[in-house]
Amino acid sequence: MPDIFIAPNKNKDTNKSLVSSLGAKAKLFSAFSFMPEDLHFNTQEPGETVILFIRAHFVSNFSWLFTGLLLLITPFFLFPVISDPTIFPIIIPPNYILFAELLWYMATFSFLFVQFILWYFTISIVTTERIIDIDFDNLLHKDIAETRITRVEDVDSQTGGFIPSLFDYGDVFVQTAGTAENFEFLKAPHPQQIVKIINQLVGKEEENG
Amino acid sequence: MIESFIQSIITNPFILIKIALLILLFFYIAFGVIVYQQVLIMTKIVDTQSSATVILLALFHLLGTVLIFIGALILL
Repeated sequence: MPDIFIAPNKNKDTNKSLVSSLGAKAKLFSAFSFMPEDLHFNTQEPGETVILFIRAHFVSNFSWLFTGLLLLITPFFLFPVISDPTIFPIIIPPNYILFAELLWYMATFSFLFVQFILWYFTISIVTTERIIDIDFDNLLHKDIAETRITRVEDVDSQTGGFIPSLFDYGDVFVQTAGTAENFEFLKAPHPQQIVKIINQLVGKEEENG
Repeated sequence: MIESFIQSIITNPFILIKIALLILLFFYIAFGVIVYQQVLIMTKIVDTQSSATVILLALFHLLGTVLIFIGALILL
């Protein structure tokens, strides 16, 4: 019998609007991507889709960005003082002052770059199968943890303070079964959305058995 | 030879600073290599659209540490 009326697939439209509102690409400064198309990780299984890609909110970087700005403007005040013999008692050759300036800017770039990569590589990934948390604490230490979605017992979020409330970021805590490690997504953007999505994934896994 | 070295330090005490700086900058190059290696490892773990940009920045950083060492040899 021919169909008289075919209802439009509303879920598909909802997903599309969600993807467009949350950002589907993991760009250089992205802190939150829903279903990023261009993200892959080395232990990704065939058919495993990345649902969420999370970093700390970019606003949380302001402390080291401010320090970097101070370091960038300091030579404008510091080196004229050092090179003035009436103020600074030791006469430093001009080539040493020039080199000190170069070294200062290089060291500032190093500081900013290291802080950037520590933020950039501290990420959390939620896939259809697993939750992966990569903590890049310092240059020589990284901690990679993962758990299956089926092992997730409880997900909750905390947002406190003026700036986190203003920019909508907070901490998400994922509790896992047994002795497995618990997960923390610190300063994550849209914590409520993250909790909602993980809960939906857990519900779906439970339905599938 | 040692006497002439001591003599050169007395006449130009900045030579000691130059030696100390060169040793320090050698370690700075090692630091640049570590940063570059870590970036390569991490981009292998997680590959995004902007991985190439970060690798390029790490390479620039490493190049900068080498150039500053060469700069110390020439300028000081």
